[in-house]
Amino acid sequence: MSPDIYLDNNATTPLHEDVYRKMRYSLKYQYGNPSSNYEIGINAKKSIQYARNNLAEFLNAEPEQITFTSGATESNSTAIIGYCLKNKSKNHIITSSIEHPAIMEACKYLQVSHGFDVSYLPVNKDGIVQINHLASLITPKTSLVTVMMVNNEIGSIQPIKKIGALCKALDIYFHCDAVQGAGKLPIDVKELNVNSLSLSAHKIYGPKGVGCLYIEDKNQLYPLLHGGAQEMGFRSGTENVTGIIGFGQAVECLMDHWINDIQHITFLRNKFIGQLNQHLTDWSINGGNTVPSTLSLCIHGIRGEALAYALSQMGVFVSIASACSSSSSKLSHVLKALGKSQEEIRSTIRVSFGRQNTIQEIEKAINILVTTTSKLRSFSPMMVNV
Amino acid sequence: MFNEIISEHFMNPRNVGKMSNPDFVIEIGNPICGDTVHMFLQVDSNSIKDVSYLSYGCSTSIATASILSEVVKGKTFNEIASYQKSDVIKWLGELEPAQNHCVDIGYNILSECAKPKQRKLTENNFLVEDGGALT
Repeated sequence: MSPDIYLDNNATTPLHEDVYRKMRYSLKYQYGNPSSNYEIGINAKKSIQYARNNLAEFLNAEPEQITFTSGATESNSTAIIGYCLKNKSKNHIITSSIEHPAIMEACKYLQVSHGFDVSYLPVNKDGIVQINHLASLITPKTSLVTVMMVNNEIGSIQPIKKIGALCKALDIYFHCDAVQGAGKLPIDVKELNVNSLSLSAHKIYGPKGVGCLYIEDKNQLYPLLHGGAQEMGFRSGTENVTGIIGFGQAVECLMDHWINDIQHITFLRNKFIGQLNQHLTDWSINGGNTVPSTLSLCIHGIRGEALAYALSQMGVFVSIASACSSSSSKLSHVLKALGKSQEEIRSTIRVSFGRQNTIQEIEKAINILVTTTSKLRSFSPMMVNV
Repeated sequence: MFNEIISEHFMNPRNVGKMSNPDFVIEIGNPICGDTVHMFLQVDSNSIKDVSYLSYGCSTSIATASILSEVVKGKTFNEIASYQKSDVIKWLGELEPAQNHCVDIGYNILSECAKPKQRKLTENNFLVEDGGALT
C-alpha cells in the first residue's frame, strides 16, 4: 500500500479536527435560519456573530467590516466590480500580471463589458511587483489597484504595505486578495492600508464554499448579490451557517497556532530542499522571497505533468504549472511573467506544505520524487546522451 | 484523467532505452508542446526485429510510444503500413481533448516505421518557443 502524502496545501487544506467537530454539531443542532426570531434561529445568528468576531480579531478589523461570502472568488468580484461600478468617473484599474484568475477575470469583465482600462504590473525574476512600476502606471483616471498578498503558484510575497501606503496617499482604492497569505503572514488591515481584502476558509483548514470580504467602508461599493438583505444588508442570501461556523473555528485555531505552523513548515521545507540538493541534479526553484509553504520546482528534462501523475500513482500529491496541452496559451501566466521558457514552465511542479505534514512524510516523498524523476529521466532524450 | 491503458503503459513503459547500433532511427515531435520520441529500429529485409525508444513529453505521449513500440515489434513493414489512424485511436483508448495530439504522435510513429529511412538522429529540438504553428 503506497502512502498518501498530501503536498498540495495551496490547492486546499484538510479540515482541522476542531473545525470538523463544530461543523458536525452545527449541521445537526444549529439548523435554524439566522433570520428567524426564535431560539434556534437566534442561536444560529449568534454563532455567525461569534465567527465574525474571530475574523475581525484576526484581521484587526471591526466585526461589521466583515462580510461572509461563498469564497474568495465572490469576495474578489464583489470588491472589484462593486467598487468600480459605483465609482465610474474613473475607469482605470491596475493589477499585477501574476494574479489568480478570480482577480484577472473580474478585471477583464470590467474591461470588456464596462469599458475600463486595465494595466498589468510586471514582476521581477523573483515574482514580485515593484512599487516604482506601480507609481509609474497610476494616472488621474486610476480608480482601483488590486494586488495579491502571496502568489498561489510560486509563493512570492508582494509589498502590500507599500502599495497600501501609496494608494492611500493618492486616494486610490486598494483591494488585496490575501487567500494565500492567511496563516503565513500577519494580516493587519489597518497597518496594510487596504480598503478591502479577501480570505477563503478552505485554505486555512476550514470548509470549502465559504470566505469573507473585509471592507473598510461598505458605502463605497455596490453589493453583488441582491435579495433579503442578509449580512447587514450587503450580501443577500441565507447564510451558510455551518460553513461560517467552521470558518470562525479555523481562524480561532490559526490565531493560536500559526507561528508554530510556520516554524514547522519552514523545517519541512528546509529538509525537503536539503534532501533534493543531496539526491537530485538539474532542478531549480521558481521565484524568490516566498512563504515557506510554497515550493515551485523546475525539474529539468521531464514534464511536470508526467512527474506529477507518476507521483500521484505512488501516493504523493502535488500540482503542476500547466496541464498537458498543445496550446502555449494554457501555460502558467505566472511563470511566463517571471520570464520562464515554455520548457521550464512545462517542467514545473508545485509542492505546498501544510501543518499536518510530518518529517517522515517529507522523507518518503523525497525518496519517491527522486526515484520517479530518475526513472523518467532514464528514457528522456533531453537527459540521455544518445 | 487517464484511461487504464495509458496509465498502465506510462507507469510500466515497455521497450524503453537507447539502442547501441540501430539500423534506423525515427524522430517524432510536436512543435507546439515539444513532445519528442526518438525510436530505434533493428530490421531485416521485410520486418522490424527489435525496437526501443526515448521519450520526452506528457504521460500520454510516453504511454503512446510504449504502446506503439509493442505494436511494431516483430511486424512486417506491410503489416505496419496497413494500420490506420482509427487503429491508433483504438489502441490508445478514450482520451481527453488535451491528450488527443498523441493520436497524431502514434500515427506518425506508425507511418515512419512502415518506411524507415533515417540512419542517424539529427536530434531536432521540436519545441518552437512562443507558439510556433504545427507544420
